Amino acid sequence: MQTHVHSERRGDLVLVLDVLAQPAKAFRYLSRHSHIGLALLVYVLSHLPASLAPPWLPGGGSIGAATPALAAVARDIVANLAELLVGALLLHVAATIVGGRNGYGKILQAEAFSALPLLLTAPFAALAHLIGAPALFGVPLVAAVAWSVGLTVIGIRETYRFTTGRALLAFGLTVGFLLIIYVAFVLAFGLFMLPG
Amino acid sequence: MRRLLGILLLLSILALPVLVVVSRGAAPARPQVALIEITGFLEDAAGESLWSGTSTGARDVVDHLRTAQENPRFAAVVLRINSPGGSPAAAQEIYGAVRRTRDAGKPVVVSMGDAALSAAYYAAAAADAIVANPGTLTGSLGAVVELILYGGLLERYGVTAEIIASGPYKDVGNPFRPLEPREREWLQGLVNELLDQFVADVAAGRRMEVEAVRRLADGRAFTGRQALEVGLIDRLGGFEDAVALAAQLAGLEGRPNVVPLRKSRSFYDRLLNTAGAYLGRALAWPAAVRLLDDRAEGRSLYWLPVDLPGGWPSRPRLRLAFPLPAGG
Repeated sequence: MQTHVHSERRGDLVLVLDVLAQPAKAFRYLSRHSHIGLALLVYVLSHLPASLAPPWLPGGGSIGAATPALAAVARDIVANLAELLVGALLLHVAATIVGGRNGYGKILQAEAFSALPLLLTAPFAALAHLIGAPALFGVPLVAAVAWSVGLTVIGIRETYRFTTGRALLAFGLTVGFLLIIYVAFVLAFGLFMLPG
Repeated sequence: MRRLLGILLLLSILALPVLVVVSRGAAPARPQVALIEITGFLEDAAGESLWSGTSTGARDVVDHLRTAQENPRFAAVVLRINSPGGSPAAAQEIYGAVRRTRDAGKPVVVSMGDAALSAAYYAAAAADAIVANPGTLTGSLGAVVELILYGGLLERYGVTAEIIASGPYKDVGNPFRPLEPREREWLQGLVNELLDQFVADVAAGRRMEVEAVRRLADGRAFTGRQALEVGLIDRLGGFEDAVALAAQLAGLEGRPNVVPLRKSRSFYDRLLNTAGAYLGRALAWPAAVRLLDDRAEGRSLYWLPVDLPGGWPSRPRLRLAFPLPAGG
């Protein structure tokens, strides 16, 4: 007798909560199912607190009394999505080099969901602005970034089904690659373009 | 745990529209004093390239002043200046923006740090009050044009230059030839005109007689104590004194929250500007003449950093490489 095991498609809210509460399980599920629309929405919403935070808060955005909010937010959304696409591509290449097998779309949605902790800083940003205490936003922001990095590594691990060590290696390769590009750019600029 | 996270998530989503509203200043809270910093060379736009030393862009300062002016959260502005000077036009931009901020009913107090000279003083002159330490260097009212003429040096090595210009004054300042008397006279006129503008604006801003300011505008710098005696500043004191004065002028009680307004840059901008500038300096800004030996050919090459006027010595704009005779 054959037993078919179907993994049920999860609801959006359940999935989002699972990313925060049970990330390994959530990313394992995401490695087999596509929720790209929800992932992009989560990613965009997650970066809104930083975009909307007043510029005098640490990590604050460019909205001020003199800046049209919609234009500034729209600009940030486009820039963030571009960063996501490029970042996911680099992660995909790095993970493939390390021996992982899965599609670009899966790591894209994993990386998008990994940004979720940043959304949780929104109440802190509002409170920091209201009572004039920038640290009230700065500290949670740092914690959220660290949490997000952790989720990224778990996301890589579950998407490509390898060990945490390899996931860290893939993440490190991506960061290292970006640093190399940066240093190469700086050196090229320094050697070939004299100040004038 | 899931319930807690769910509540936090819901709060976060609900907080987003609240954040839009409070960021636009529509929800007044405890009044604060905006802090805007002017550090380094003053120019129109802060250097974004890897070769920039510390500089402040007038456009950024004007933006911050407008933010402070329009946002009801800010009751006053403190302009903290640590600058050797810079572009007269940049100073005029800031001067105008300070006047507009004052006209909008927000007091502006300048706090001078190590130095606030020349164009930096020009920008400060429009403020409600200027506070400086007794040892601060300020003043140096005036304008200067420096030309470095190295035509003779290059001629020694057989280098000549041909200039084809559309008018008699088009190539004034050409480094390959000495200045002609008419050119010197024309440049002097330019400098005098800039001085007139400088003196008139300082007199208006400081509510002094034009002639009184002109007597001080011989280019000399003053210590904070001397500047107080001649009326170029209002009070001796440090940053905290300036904040207290700003709060007093705004009618605030107690020490207010000081909120720095800084240009928001992306992570990549900060990384490029900070690390790249250090690396750029290491590559391109020798502290002294650097000798490169060409041992195979028995020659030596000197790289000579040539400083152009108006900036820190660490902003070379030109390099000359010339061979020395064998054995030199």
